[in-house]
Amino acid sequence: MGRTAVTLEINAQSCAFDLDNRTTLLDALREHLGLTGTKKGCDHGQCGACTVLVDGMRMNSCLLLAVALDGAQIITVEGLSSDAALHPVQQAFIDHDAFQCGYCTPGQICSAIGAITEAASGWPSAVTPQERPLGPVPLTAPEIRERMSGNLCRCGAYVNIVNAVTEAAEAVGEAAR
Amino acid sequence: MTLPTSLDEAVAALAAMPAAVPVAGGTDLMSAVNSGLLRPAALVGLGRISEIRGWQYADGNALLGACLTHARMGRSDFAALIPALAMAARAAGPPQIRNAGTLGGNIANAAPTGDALPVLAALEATVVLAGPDGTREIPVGHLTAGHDPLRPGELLAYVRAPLLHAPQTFLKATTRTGPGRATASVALVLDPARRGVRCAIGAVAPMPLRPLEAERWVSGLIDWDGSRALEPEACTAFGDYAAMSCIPDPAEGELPLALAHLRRTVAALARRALERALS
Repeated sequence: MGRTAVTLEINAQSCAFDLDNRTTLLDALREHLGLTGTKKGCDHGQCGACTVLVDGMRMNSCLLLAVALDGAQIITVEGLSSDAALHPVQQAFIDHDAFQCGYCTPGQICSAIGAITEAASGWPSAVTPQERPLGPVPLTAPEIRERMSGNLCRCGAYVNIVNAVTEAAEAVGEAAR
Repeated sequence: MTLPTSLDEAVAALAAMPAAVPVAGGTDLMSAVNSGLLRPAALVGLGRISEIRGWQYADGNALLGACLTHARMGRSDFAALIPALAMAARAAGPPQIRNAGTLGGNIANAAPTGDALPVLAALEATVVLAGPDGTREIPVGHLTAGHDPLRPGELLAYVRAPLLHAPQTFLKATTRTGPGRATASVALVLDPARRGVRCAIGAVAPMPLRPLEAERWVSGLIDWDGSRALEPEACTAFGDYAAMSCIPDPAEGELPLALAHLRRTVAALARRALERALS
């Protein structure tokens, strides 16, 4: 099995690697860069703990080959806060007690940012009504539950996660206005 | 690992290394790689081939690129073209999977639970395969059944699906709330030009099943030039007819309880799919 040289832009920093072709993005982040914020839960795309943003889209990093992403922009939970200020979604998770053990939280937060962006871009979900005006999809509780359904929380903090995402969506929306 | 930027380059790379595995979204492939079941000798990444990431129109059909993601197919502009495929794409797993997983991957993986497969069966869609000796076009079912498999160096490039300009539905039953694997799914499309209802049942067999007799029976009942409405009893009978043809009674003895339950699920999904398409 061969190796490939690859350059990824991770949290706005260019990183060059020489990786075994089979290395997942998750292992590249954790084992090669020491960015252990992104968690390995199930390693086959069921739990969402490894969610990161790839070119702005949330994806499971355990299911991505790092060498196939040459040149991509990756944002992990470590890259969300600027200076001392937390990202609005991070702040909302703290304000609403939206975790207990915290293992799923980095994935939940990256996924929530993706969900908020997707809804603001007007992407429908499985629970969005077929007939609706064009434009952003309002993030109601059922919409948030559907859109966050790829992130499992074994502590069962779902109720507070929905509250946190609701508040964060409003905060992000106001900041954009 | 090679990352071709055009279909021709990808076919050339595959032809040069027939043992190489093409990878698009990787959502099915990578779980096998991570658990050590698959150690590909080489990989051809398809993510850079922009010509197969969108769609184009060709003689009343849509030519869909194999690397269209589920997320892209779920969006409103695509839903206006092929509503059932958009509904299947929105239900095809959690958002992280839909952002990466592709239409071509769903076909090539040919999982019995693949959500796009019953829709493509109901649409009678075809796949365009690009190979070292040019392209050929075969029905989706011939590929997924292994009746006419991919040849060495061949790549699934496009899916040709008709634009029917009529209501379509896709419904699935899962074992949990939210997007899980289907225990049964039903795709149903109306084809007013051919005065037909076409239906496919997914996940109950290794590949989608078409209840052809039930389709013909219900197509004959519908007033295609009028309101297209049917009595509720007719929709119920269609559901039972479709379910019975996919999960028939055994030659001897009783149907096992689990299968009887699955048959009721299929009947309810097929009835609802027809009601929604005709309402």
